[in-house]
Amino acid sequence: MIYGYYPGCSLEGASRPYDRSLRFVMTALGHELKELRDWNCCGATMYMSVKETVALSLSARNLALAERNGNTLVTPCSACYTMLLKTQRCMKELPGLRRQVDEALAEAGLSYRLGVQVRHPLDVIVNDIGVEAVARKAKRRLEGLRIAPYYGCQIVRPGPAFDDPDWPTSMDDLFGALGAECVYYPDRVRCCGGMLMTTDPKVGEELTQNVLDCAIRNGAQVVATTCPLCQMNLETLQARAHAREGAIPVVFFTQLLGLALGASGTEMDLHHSLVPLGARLEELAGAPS
Amino acid sequence: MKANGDGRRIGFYICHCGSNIAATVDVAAVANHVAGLSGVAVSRHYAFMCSQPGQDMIARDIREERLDRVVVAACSPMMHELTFRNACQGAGLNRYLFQMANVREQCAWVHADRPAATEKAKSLARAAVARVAHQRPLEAATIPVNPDTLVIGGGIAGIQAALDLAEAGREVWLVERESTIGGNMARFDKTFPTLDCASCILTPKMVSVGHRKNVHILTQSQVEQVSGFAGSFEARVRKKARYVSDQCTACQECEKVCPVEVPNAFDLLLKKRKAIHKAFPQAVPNTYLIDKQERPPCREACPIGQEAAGYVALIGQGRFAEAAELIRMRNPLPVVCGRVCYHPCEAECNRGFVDEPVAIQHLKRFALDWQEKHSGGIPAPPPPTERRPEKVAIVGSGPAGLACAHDLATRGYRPTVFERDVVLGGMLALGIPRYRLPRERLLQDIDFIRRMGVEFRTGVEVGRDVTIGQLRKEGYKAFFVAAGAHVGVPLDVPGERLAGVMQGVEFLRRHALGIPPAVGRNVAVVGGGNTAVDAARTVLREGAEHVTILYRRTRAEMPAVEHEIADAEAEGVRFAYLRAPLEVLGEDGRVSGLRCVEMELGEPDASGRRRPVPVPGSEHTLSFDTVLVAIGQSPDLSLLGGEGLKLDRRGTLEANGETFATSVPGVFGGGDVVFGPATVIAAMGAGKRAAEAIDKYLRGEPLTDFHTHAVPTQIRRGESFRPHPYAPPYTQTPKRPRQAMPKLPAPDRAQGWEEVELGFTEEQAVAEAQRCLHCGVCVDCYQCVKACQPGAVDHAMKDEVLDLKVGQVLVTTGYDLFDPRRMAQYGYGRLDNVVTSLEFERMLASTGPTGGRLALKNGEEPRAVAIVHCVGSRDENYHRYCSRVCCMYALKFAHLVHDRTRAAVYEFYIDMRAYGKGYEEFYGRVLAEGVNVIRGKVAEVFAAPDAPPGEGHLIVRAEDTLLGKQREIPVDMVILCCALEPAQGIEALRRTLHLSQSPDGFLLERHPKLDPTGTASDGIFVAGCAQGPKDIPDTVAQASAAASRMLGLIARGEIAVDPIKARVEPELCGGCRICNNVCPYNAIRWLEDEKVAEVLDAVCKGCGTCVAACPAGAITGLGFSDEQIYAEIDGLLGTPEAASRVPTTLEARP
Amino acid sequence: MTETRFEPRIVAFLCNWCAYSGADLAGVSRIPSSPCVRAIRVMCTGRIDPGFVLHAFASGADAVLLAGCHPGDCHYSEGNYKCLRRALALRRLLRAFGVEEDRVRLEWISASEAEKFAQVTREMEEAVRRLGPLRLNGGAGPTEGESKESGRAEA
Repeated sequence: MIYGYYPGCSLEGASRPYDRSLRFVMTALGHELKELRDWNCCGATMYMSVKETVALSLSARNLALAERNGNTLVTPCSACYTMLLKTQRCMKELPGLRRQVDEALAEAGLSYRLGVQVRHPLDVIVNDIGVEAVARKAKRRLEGLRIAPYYGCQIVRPGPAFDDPDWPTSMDDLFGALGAECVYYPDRVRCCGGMLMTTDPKVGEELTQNVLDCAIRNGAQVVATTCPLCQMNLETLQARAHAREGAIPVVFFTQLLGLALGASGTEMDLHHSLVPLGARLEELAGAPS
Repeated sequence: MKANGDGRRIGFYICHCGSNIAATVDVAAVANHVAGLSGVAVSRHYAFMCSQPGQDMIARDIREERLDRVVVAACSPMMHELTFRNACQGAGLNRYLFQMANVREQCAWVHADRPAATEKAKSLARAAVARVAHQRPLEAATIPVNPDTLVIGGGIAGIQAALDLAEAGREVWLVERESTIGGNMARFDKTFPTLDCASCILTPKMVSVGHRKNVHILTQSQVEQVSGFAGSFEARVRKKARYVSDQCTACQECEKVCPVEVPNAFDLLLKKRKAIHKAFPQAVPNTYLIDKQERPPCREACPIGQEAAGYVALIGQGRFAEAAELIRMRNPLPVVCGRVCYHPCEAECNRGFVDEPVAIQHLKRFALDWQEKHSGGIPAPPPPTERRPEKVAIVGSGPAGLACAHDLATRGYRPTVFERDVVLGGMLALGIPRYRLPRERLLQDIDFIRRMGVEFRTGVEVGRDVTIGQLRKEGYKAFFVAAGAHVGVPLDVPGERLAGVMQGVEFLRRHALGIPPAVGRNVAVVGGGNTAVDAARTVLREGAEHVTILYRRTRAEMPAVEHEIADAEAEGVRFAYLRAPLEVLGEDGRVSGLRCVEMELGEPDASGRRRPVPVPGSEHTLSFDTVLVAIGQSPDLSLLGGEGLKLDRRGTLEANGETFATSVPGVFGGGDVVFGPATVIAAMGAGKRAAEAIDKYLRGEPLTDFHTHAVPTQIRRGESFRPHPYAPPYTQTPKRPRQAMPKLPAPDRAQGWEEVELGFTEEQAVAEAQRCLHCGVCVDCYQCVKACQPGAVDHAMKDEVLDLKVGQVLVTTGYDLFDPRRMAQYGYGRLDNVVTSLEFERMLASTGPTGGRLALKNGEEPRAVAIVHCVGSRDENYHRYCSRVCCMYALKFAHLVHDRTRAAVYEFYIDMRAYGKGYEEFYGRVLAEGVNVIRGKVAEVFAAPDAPPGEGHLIVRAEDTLLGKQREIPVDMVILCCALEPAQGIEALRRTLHLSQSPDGFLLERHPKLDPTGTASDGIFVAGCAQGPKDIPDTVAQASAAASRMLGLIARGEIAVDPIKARVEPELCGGCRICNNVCPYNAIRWLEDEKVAEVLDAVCKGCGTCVAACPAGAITGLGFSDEQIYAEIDGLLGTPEAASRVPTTLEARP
Repeated sequence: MTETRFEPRIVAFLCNWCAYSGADLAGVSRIPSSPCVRAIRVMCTGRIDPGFVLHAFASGADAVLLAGCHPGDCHYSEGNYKCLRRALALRRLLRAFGVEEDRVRLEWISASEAEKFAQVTREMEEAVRRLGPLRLNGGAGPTEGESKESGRAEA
């Protein structure tokens, strides 16, 4: 089917590989992503704490646009995802706020009637398309690859979400079905340091390091993320001068999925990784072309 | 409101309730406002109307101001309506001339805006005043109180209350869902803070309640419905059959002989118990019970209802003799079945969902072979219980006839069996080849039956040599026709008459009789049934070089038994599937071959099998010198037709499907002759049913409710089911392949006639039998019956339904534990050594699985233990409430761990709640013992990643909120202190009793502070954890409180019933009878002569549904009449301007 | 009370066992509810004669709330079902009279659903403020005498 698609700013910047791999995966699975025309900033999580109504109105505009065509809006960036959901919720549950947002939208000749379903691609792939269906379409098994699925804090929190807030398993199921081994490591839902990188790097880096150490200690070869910010934090830290030993590549879950569905490492931008891919992933990715 | 108020002298009082009301409502303004309303004689405001001075004020005004109506605006009527009504009555005013306005709960407490609240208070006051003007004096009728009490739930609360009531000499019905009273407390080892052992303080109470003559304990029982009202309730209780009567002396003999072991729910499945068991040694009542779930599918599927699971279980324990006995108890042809039964039981065997079905048939054969070898041959038949004079004739000595003869003999008859042939056994002797069923084996069973007093007459064909008529003259009263189906169905293709073409049955028959026909070297057998395969294997042994079975479908559709086909293949029989003969070709009168056509499978036909259709142009010729036709058999009724017996279309004998009666009285029919060719076991089933039918017939009983087994159309089983509630799902049951039956090597056996299957060895038999899953727990082996001297065991016991009449009901259903699987991050059910608090209690108990020893799964002693508080409690995602007992029992655990091991203990708590007597001291004491307490909720528990294999310990991650640090603490065992939840099933009970629940799901008390044991419904009380989490002291106190409340009412002997009821004005009643249908209690009687309806006061509960429904307005709701409510509406909405004419508020002068 | 601001008048018929107790619990738990909603206690919603509702409107109510036990919870087994049927019929009747559907609301409120009760009252106030006063035959809140007549007529 056709899904409305809201990439969000990071997927046009540092996280372009996420955008490219996601589009490939959806096509390979026989579905279409229809990018929302004239979308704008999601209202970003921290803007909320500055000016709530403005932030809400910003993201409500996207929902209003989406409502015109189709009722689902898929968005890969965890921040956008939470933000859009939050807007949805505020408008549903806080009539006061809603009135203000409605006014703002009206200014732009728009209106929003809460008709849009905000979905994360992981949710769509696991729950709409289904793990078995993906496995059937796979051109390549990920045998011998030890993946650390990293869910981060936003896509299943605070819940109720498409997966257990404290015990998400969708990525494990997905890669498991594709032959990979998903290592369990406690930090899979812990904070990646998030925006602290910019405000209090010392604390931020410690948090990031915790996640990496935990994944490595539990024998992972690669970290699979669902969030641009997580990906950036986890990868760049290792690229820094004072990075610790035993670096581990950090990629978007769609990049690995793409490999399984027959894409080349180059198509999946795997060679852009700042960290060496490691033997098995190299092998799967093939030589750069 | 003039109209309403005229001539009335209403007194109005608004209460400040300290500042509760006055702070938000301008009480003076309200009093002022009301003073101006017509009919209001007095209007006052006062600090505490409910106080003595307040009540006196009302009384005084009633006397001095000659008030005829009173309104108090104060708290909710639920709170003080009664108080004020009593005050009015005390002053000589009818208590129902009082009305209350709720300006606290529903006004002052929920509004902040003073003017708005005041306005609302005014309108509520107006409404009450307007309403009261229309109220009429009412008299409350009183009814006698039934002094008996129903207590639901046999935990410590129920026990305590029952004892208190019994002490006072009252009758108590104590209903408990489980098999013993004692509840959760019986599971505990020690109790906090005193650390005295739970059983030492509980069991004496259990025993004494058990000994009380006036306490009637109903275990395994549930209350299904309750009707009536305070003083006289009627309760329907369903009591599950225990299968052991109270003659039981708890001597444990039955337990010793029971072959079935399952996990004990009382020990939270940590310990095993037998199918016949007692929850725990001190259980009350001290009577065993049998855990009978659904009947095992193997038994359900068996046409004779053989207790397959029973003898399998016995064999599994090496008790072969008992197994054989059990088989013989029900089975007329045990030896035969052990060899040739096609075992429908195995098709239904649940083990099939794990790996392969249990080899039930082979085990049966083993047991009987063993009996013959080791216990001095075949045993003597048991003497019949009685002697029946009537003569019965059985036509045919096949499985049906023999089974019928056998069962008639056990019922005391001495039937005669008439056999047309010279040998006995019908198809067993003439159809089934020796290598499958050696003759001497068949004779063993027949001799057994003969020794039971059955007479056999061979070579006598009923219908030719002797007629039923003649037999009647000889004094035969009843007949069973079981002549079988011995006539082969012709192919009807050209050339079937050629020499060398023969019916398979005929061939086998002559072979069995020792006069085999000549056969050629290259034989074709047409057909796919057992007869075809038997014929093929026999003719192979006759020396044929090539034997080919032609079948028009594929192997998958072949009706013959799978392993027979396999054996045939092994012996060299060829199979030509999808092949059908069109013509038998011949040369000078002898067969030379078959012209055949190839088939393909089309749509499924009636039988569900895909219909074969010829492939055009696929015709071809195969050469054979002999053709055996085995495509079906039909009965030979040429002679019996003469007896006036009706035949049906299929050319079989017509007989009733259940009673087996034929068209001729006294003549019954069954087996192949009625149903067409079927299996040995099916025929035996028919024979047994016929025996019962004949017995009933001869006793002149109606031919109904038969006891002989009938296979249900649908046997409840499937992937999703479990063999029984305590078994793991099939997917988690360890696989153990089925034992292979040892056989003669194929080459040798194709020559000889020796039995092909050699039978299990003892080791094989035991191993195979132990694969049984014990579906339904009790497997009907009846060992307990034999073992029980007092004769207390009765497997036929039925559930009982009791209708109890009681005056009051107490609900003490207690709690269940929160299921920590819901918090996946704690790893319960996934990680070894993560246990719940209750499991840990059992671990500590001396009667528990480890006998009180603290051990990990691997048997070792833990080095460190983590105790996690508030699992599911004080948690927005699960239960917001505090479970109140966890902190203290967690400390108890800490102490006991210290006491019994050298393990370090870590307590993870949010807040330490030690609120009870001696609790804080206990906390101090445990701290002093050196427990590590960490303030912080545990985030997760996970297996240590880099732990050396074998000693995989756990890591508990939590934030230490006092240090402000994250901590990861390695431990061996984690104890989850799970929340207390309302006992499951409470919802159903709540609805039966029409009780409300509080937001936390526990039962709602009448008032949180002033009436914690009462409920909104008079006569129904609640105590213990059913009302909310609490510890043992509080539970006991609350139970006693409830008991004394109930004793109070009993002592009074009568109860006033609210006169709020419906009443019909006969002269207005139009006789439409709508009210008859709307009343949920059938409290409205239709008077046929007067043609009017009448309300039965005793039954009416005053809901008023009929009042609203009556189109003629002929029904009045006393206390809630139309004009009262209309007035109330008017008052509520009355425009404020209409009020405050004479602003005269009288200052309250108490 | 000043006539400057429209003060909705909402009559709530609450069953004794569930809704009324729920309303009390709201009080005990100090959950703010709308002062415009004023309760009349009946033993069971089954007692609520459609005439009551019509009469309430006739004598100046802007909306009416009917609240009782959840299906299956009725203290008298099935009174709430009766009420449900009558409410549905009543809705259609009122529509014919030009009374907006939002002015009659049927809710199942258990004794423990204090929050829900308060919520419902607030919502109703909001709804009525949006709709404005009910103008039956041109005027709100007729005087008692008249309203009684009209009430009887409809009852």
